Order: sequence, then C-alpha cells, then structure tokens
Amino acid sequence: MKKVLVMGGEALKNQAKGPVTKHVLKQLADHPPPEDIRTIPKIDEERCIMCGTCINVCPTHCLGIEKDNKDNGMIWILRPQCMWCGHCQTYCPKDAIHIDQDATLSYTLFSFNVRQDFDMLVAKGSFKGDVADKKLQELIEEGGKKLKEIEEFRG
Amino acid sequence: MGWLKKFGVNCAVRSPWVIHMNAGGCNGCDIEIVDALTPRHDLEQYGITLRGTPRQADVLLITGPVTAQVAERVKRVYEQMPLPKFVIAVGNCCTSGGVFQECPFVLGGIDHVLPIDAWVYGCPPRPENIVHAVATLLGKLKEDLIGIEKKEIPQEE
Repeated sequence: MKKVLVMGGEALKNQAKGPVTKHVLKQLADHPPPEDIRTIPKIDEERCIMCGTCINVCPTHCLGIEKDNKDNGMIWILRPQCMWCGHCQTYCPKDAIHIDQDATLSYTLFSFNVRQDFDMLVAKGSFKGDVADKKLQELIEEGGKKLKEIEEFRG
Repeated sequence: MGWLKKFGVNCAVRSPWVIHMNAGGCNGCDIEIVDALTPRHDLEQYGITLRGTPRQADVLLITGPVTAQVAERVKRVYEQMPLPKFVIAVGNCCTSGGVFQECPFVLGGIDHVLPIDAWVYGCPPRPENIVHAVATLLGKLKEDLIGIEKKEIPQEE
C-alpha cells in the first residue's frame, strides 16, 4: 500500500512539474550536427548514364533499376535499407550519385511503416512522369502484400 | 470519466520506461542509444529511463538482425512486459537484416517476430533521430489514446 502511495505521489509530482531539463533543448541549437554528416543518396539527373554500377556494389541491395538505354531509365531506393555508406558514390564512373549532407534530414529518418517507404531517385527520358509514378505505386502495393505475409507468418 | 482517462494517459506518456535489447547486432546502435541518454541529447527530459528488467518497462528498444536463436528470447522478453507495451526498432538491421541479410540464420526483419510501432533508420542512426522518433511516437500515442480529432484545414481552390 505504501509503495502505491509513493508511486502515486511521484506521478502527481511529475504531472505538475513538467520536464526538468527544458534548458537542454535550447542548448541543442547551439550544438548543430557535424557538417560531414551522411544521409540518403541523391542522383544528378544530367550526369547519370544508367550503367547500374551503384546497384551492383550496394551492400544492402536497397537500390533498383529499370532501363532501356542510357537516356531512358529510372532508379528507385528503399529508404530504410540504405545504410548511408557511400559505396555507390565511390564507384560511380560519372560522379552522378552523392550522399546528401543535409543535417535537417537526419532528424526525420524514421517511419511507422517500413515496407512501403520507397522513393524514386531519378527518372530520365521516356520513364519520366507517368511511368515512374506507376512503378512507385506497384512497389508500394508489393510492400503491402509483404506486410500481410509477415503478419500471417507472425500469427 | 473523460478527465480521469486524460489524466491517466498524461501520466503514462510523461514517464515511459524503456528496456533495451540486442538481438544479434554489432553493438553500434546500442552505443547510439546510450548516447541519446547522455545530457547532450537528453532522452530523460521526456521522463524516459532505462530499466534493467522487462517487468518494469513500457517500451522495448530492439537493435540488430534477429537471428534464429535469439527470436524465441525476444518473444519471451516481449511477453514478460505489462500491458500496454510498445516496440521501437532501432537501426537498419531490424528492418531487413541490413548487411547480414544474406546470412542463412537471420530472419528478414524484427516484424517477423513482433508487431512494431516505430522504425528508426540508419546504420547506426543518429541520437537526434532516436530522440525525435520517441517524441513523435509519444505524441501519436497521446492522440490515439485520448482520441483528439484532427481539424481538417479546408483547401483553397
């Protein structure tokens, strides 16, 4: 009984008092993340020649490609799988792909649904517009199917 | 009874206690979680403390790809937690196996074992990212539990 009273007292105290370390949030603005921070890769559309090197060297298989020739094609990414290693940047023959160093991006890299979080990195030529949107929709639907499969597996 | 529920939810959301478990990873994400608890990225300003036992915890923080051997243990730890319980997967390995995904003894992601509430990206994720994810999850929980209706903003044509 005594323990319950102590716990209730603590809860009431916390309810009234609020966070003790409010000042820390102010200090965080004084200490921004480092400038050489790494996040999601991005592709320069004019430089990319759709060679597929980045897809072959990616250690986590997070990239995918569909193409006709060097002017027509698209590359997509499964954002939660990318580990920001920069391997694609090192191997790219035309320096088209680079790791984005936007510090504000690092605050937002989380989600509540991981299987459908696809993103189109680049779409060139005849793949621009409708084809890319359609492919993205297909990928998201496939992710939904995988979600259902996993739920069945879990039981 | 509306106010009582509101009060209870407020109390619960202000002090979620966390247990942290490694499911076969490289220990990188674990160190980032500990970094998030340090005064610079202060996770304790939201009332979060790290507990040693699942029986006192509300939130399970999981890191690492789930190996076949540890899957049953993860399940057992989850079952020992009292209701309501939430799971946050930290790091890339939890989502798909990451760099370990071609290993034959790794399940493809933690959601093969447990239902997950939030995912944090990165290999390893930055501490700010973990703090932001936890804070957003708590805000979302408050909305879900109390049932605040979101006001729809009419679009201008």
